[in-house]
Amino acid sequence: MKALQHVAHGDPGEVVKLIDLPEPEPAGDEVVIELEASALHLADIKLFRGDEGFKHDDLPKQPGYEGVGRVVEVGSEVANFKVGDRAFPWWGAGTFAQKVCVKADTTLPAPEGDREQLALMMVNGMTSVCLLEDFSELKEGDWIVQNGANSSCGRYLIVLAKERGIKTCNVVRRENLFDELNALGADACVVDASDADTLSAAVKEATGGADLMLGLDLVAGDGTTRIARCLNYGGKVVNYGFISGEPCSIPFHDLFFNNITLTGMSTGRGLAKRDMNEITRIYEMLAGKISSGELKAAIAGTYTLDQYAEAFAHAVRTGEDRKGKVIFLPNG
Amino acid sequence: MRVARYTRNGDPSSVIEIVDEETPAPQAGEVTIRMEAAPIHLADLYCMSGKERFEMPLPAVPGFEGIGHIIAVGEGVTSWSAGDRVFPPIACGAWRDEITVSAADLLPAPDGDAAQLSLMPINPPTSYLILEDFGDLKDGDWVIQNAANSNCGRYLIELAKLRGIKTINVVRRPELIDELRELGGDVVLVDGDDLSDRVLKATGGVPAKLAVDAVNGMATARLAECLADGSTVLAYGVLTDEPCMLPSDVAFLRDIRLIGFYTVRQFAKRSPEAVKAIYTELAQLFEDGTLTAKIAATYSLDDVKEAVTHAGRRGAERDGKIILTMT
Repeated sequence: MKALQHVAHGDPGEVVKLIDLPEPEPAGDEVVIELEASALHLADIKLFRGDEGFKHDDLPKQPGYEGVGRVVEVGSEVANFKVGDRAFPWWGAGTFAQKVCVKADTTLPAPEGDREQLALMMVNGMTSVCLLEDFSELKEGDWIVQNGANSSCGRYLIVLAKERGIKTCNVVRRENLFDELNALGADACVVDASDADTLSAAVKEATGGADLMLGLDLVAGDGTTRIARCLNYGGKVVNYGFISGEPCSIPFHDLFFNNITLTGMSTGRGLAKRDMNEITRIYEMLAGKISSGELKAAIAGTYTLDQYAEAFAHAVRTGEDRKGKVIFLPNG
Repeated sequence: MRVARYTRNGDPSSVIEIVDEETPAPQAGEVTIRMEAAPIHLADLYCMSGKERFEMPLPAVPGFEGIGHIIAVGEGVTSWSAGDRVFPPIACGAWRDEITVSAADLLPAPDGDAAQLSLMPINPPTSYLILEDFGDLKDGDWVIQNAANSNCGRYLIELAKLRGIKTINVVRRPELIDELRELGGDVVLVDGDDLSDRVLKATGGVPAKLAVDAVNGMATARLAECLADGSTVLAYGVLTDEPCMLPSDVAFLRDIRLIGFYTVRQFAKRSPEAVKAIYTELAQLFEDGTLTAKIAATYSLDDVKEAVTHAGRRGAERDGKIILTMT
């Protein structure tokens, strides 16, 4: 079978190779999943490059955080899956391959539905749930503000917040995204400004002066300041990405006078504070909503494994040049 | 009596002037204080120059703090009498010979050097509350701070020592290393890109539990990299015009959060008795010589223009605090 292999840190198109591996043989407690679709994340690109905090010291490795596929072989002791079942391998299974061989007890059942959409559930879906649940006691009617609102997480957040009665003010770079986000259930959309006071005034107007205690920041750099400036005294900015490529930046006075907290989120920590029952319940909920089309990410393009260099080049583009997530279709 | 004031914003030495004013007699509930000494803080200079968020209604008298003794007592004031040494309220406009203020907002001042004690109301509680309220610091834990040679930084070294907390002190000038070690700093390092590697080497691999930042910009990020997972960067000062920077990967991979420290917020969480107890403790630490400020120079109030010019210098050109004396 074909699989991508990450052999060194550097230019993603150079340090990843397509290799042939023997067909996997499941141990007693394992299943073999033939992948239909695997999501390519910016975190994959950072790992390839060996960006700060993303270095592997155990290369070569088989990349790919998540995907969806069908069980094609089951180990002798496996009771929860049978051949033909659709399944999500657990985080970090190395899904940029035609097949993965994984433990059955951490594999989750997958519903029928769009394979490209389902391939994004494990990471972005859980991230969105953690952002809504773990940082602020949000009640029905409360508002939150987020930038990068057109990202997969941003779109999931709009839908998941709506269901909980939480209102979203969505900051995007382009006004032509408003209709799409409104259709998802956005309560307000605002075009990002070049300075924080301008954005803050626009958000205030769009939300009718609502109290804002939680701001979600995917942009970093000055984007963090702009989100921070939208918040009330004592508000919290949760950073979960850095599409600007800059460090998060907040002027001292926002911290000092307005008592703003800047904190980071990692979905790994979100998972660690939940037991497996709760995690399974959340993933069932997410899978159902993706299957029904309620949760829908923008897909930028699909690629086969041998097109990996093009896929990586596509994934590093931003905004209008990318328009969504890049997905591998490992078996075509 | 002499009052230092400014009627417009601009270069501090140009806009500050000495004028003669009558001291108002204390009304009911008030006292008049004869000032002995008052420090010049960076915030005084920022206010005079009209820096964003430091704008004051004009005309204004600088001086966030100082020390003096009571020379007249208004009707109904029973807790103070003439001759008592006191600290006037914070931000009273202390650069003057005499000031009449409400008796309710005074703190008792101990005996001792007026220049040293004039710094007691603001910086020492800052350093005290940073160590008391953040990072859950225990005996043997490490705290890292930049601007370690600042007045707050030096108090923090002295107060941490008392509590058995170890300090990593980051400075810009290598000539400060010996001086801060002598003061009690456990590790003193010159700031730079490989700071976190040098810190871990110096502490035997133990990361800090709290970072204390008065510089901002990428200096904030360099401190953050020295922290244990799940720790806090506390920004309490603003020595550069850069925003505080925290790389996203440090924030999310290592669960580092960035917050601002404001003495007023920490005091507001305490009862008046608890606040008083902190000042009493700090006064004792001044009396026994545990807390010491580095004073670069003292100037007579008459020479306030020279004093603010000196206070505006940085680094080796102003090695410590500038104090105005009213005697």
